[in-house]
Amino acid sequence: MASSRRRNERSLYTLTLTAISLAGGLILGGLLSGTISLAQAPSSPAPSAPAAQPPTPRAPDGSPDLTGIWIPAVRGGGASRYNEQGGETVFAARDSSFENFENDNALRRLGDRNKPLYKPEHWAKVRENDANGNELDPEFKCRPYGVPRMGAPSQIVQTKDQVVLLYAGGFAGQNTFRVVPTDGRPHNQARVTQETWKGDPVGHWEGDTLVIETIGFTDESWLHKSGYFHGFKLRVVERLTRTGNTLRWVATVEDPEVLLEPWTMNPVTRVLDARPDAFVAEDLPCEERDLQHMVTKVRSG
Amino acid sequence: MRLKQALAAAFVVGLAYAVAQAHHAVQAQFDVNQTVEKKGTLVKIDWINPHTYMHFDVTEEGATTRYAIESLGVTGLRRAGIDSKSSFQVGSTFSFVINPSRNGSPTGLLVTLVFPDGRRFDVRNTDTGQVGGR
Repeated sequence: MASSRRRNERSLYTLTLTAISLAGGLILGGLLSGTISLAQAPSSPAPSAPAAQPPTPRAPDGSPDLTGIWIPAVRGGGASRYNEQGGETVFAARDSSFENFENDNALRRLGDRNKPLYKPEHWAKVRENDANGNELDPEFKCRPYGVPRMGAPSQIVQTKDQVVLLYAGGFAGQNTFRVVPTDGRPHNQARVTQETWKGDPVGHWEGDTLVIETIGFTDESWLHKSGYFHGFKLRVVERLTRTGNTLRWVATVEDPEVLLEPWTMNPVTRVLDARPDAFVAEDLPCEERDLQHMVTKVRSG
Repeated sequence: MRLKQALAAAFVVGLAYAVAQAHHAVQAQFDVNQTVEKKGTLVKIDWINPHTYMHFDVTEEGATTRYAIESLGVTGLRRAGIDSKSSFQVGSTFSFVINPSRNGSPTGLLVTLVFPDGRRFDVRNTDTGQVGGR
């Protein structure tokens, strides 16, 4: 598949650069340690996804235990390099310029062939949203990402009857949580009618996969940066699968009012951060101050 | 020129990769093909998302202008080892290289920050750690 090939290419590229950047980070840490404390405390190297996975931990009832802090397997995305001869930063773009680095990343985003299939009458709104995203994107206004745009959780606490999902990070992200009952109860209709950014979730196990179904959404959140809006009838099904020390998250969205068919978003893989001093960082307040200074509608990747 | 001496003396931060998916395209706001060097007194830092701001009083030709310099988000700064307000001494003089604003406002996008003792922080060679595009 084209999308998996793209992911593989990106993984190889970023893996190489991750190794380089780790060295850079160590140097920076040493340089600044006089007056600046090191990032996020842990001194041991960050874990990476090993080829062979240890056995998946099990809860007393036999289901996989998802408890843990889950961090991105691959950080960042694109690339810059420092040219030691010229002292210039070289960006992974058609001409190594920062300008086209941004432009090319935007093209990559728009070129992702995994798009939701909207009914014909709704494409104009998607295009309008994307073209004016600097003003319309909820993220840009420091509003919540909501489900499913908030993606995979940063930490999971699993108990017998419920799974607690904790979230952090992102540009506009504010620490937030979801409590997902897994005791077989139905949706809470009082909550469903509140129509919120995170909706009303219920969970159950299908084999080794935790399946979370969420309904009861506001129509203000977006599914994705590219202007993908939705209506009140949105239903999101997320699947969380732990294999050893990796966690795979994938979400499928259904919205029969605006979409022709369900859309399965690009899956995300996270790895366990087993360092004893690992923690989920606090997100600071989000304040948008850029729009008043913008002179074009250019958006990023 | 002191800034150039500082830049030459400072050890360049190692190779790293920058963010691909950003909060917004900074070229909509800043002229990314131009850089300007300034020197100013640090007045305050706003530790906020999606970008942190450093405010400097810059005195040129007898007039003082307060610049609001946009930098990485908090996540990026944390990954670079800058994770507390005590990382910067308010009242100290910093040199900085910025991409200037495109609307003429006294704002800029931080490219390089030179600490009073000559240490250098290259933003664009810093892994910001953001996974965006969502």
